[in-house]
Amino acid sequence: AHSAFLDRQSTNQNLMKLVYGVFEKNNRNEDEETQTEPEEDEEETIGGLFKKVSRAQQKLKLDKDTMNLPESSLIQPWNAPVRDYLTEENKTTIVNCFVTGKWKSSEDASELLKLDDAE
Amino acid sequence: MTTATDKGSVLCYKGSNFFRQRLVLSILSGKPVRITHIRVLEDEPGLREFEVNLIRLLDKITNGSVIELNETGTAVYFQPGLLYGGTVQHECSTQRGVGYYLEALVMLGLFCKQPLNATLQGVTNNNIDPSVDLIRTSALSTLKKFFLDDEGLDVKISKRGLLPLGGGEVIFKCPVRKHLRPIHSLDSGMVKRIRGTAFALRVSPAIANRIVDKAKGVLLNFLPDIYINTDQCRGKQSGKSPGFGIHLTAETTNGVIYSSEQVSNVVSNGEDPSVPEDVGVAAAQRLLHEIYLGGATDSTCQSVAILCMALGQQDVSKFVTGPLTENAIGFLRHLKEFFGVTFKLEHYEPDEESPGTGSQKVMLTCVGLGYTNISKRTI
Repeated sequence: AHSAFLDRQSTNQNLMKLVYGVFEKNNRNEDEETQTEPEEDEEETIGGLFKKVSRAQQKLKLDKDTMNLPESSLIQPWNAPVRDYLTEENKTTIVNCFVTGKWKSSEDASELLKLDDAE
Repeated sequence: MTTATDKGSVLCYKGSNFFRQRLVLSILSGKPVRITHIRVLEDEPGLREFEVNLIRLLDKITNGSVIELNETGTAVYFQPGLLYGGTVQHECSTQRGVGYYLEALVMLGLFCKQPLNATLQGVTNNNIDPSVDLIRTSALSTLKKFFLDDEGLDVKISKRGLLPLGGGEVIFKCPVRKHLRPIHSLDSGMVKRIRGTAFALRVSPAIANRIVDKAKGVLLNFLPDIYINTDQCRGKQSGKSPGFGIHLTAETTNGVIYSSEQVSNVVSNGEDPSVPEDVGVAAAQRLLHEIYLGGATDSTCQSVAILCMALGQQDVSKFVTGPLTENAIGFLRHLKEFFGVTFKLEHYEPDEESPGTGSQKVMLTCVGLGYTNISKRTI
């Protein structure tokens, strides 16, 4: 789940679609379902014993994967592994989040002083 | 995610995921919900103890809610009553942390008729829920942005309790407000200090110091201003089960608080015992990850911010968060279904390119609903 999350972070560009797209998709699926319904009635049987799983049922199964997941507001459980931020590569990604890092030029005191001197 | 099907005025859902969001939004919007197919295919079908427990808590703070469960508990009908609030005492299920219940109260508290004064008992820190420390720091700081006078908003941890037996006690106080104000929160600022609390319950108090040492060791690579308390709990204050843990907060120049925490494994459940040093390092790394995600709120509290934006006055609110969590995405979808609010979501582009400030941020924009608390008396 964590890697999926990271992937999503980098690939998805259209957030609106990601969040609200599910509504459109659902409407479309409903249309499809109404179309396929007549076929479902004459369900195919294999060897007279087993029923073939229809597409709608398969879709329901996929839904089921997410529908009963435990609910938690955490991005991942506390004990899930995270990257090691002490390695140089990862360290550089967050180093300017701290006051010890590089400030924005509009807020950086030394830059502002330079401006003062120039005037 | 399953979306709602509308049957008359009742919103119908399938599955137990987002159970809490659905109930909370149902109470705020006054729309009844019906949830079916709850764990139908699992060995133990139906609602779990902690969910039934949540319904009981919500029943306590509302007046006239109608709850119907079917025999196996796989279907629930919930018709919300009026939000009343007042003084509530509640024994939470130990399957989930007190944080699970507190989060619901944080969302509802402002809109009650009487100021909420809730005493919750149960597990204060676990691995799958935000701990009470996190609610006290991150969630309340997020909530405070949306109204001016924050007097009387408080979480007090009078006892800590860990799995499997719990025994913690938390007092949550929340004032009532007539409406929320719109906010523009675009810059999260830079992390200026890191604080924390380490606790060791029913084990050697030296363990807390060992956690602090290691956590500090990691964080000192980034910032010198670090102070981590040790919370020494004695006797009844330390709950019923042994264990230890740590909660860390990073505060930015703009007053945003990021939180992370770790808690030891539960040995009686057959897990390997935790090493205090590892717990300290893991908590510090997780805090750095939270800083990497960034935004004007903690990743755990995104849905609180989203709710307050949607229910604010009829004005534009802008808010920058880190990458949206699964929970926040679900919350946005549910808000659309219960209230008809659609947010504008886009990647946030800061004015100047600045490398090394963490992940890509998301900007949420919406016009508030102008939701007012009709129960609050005007003086």
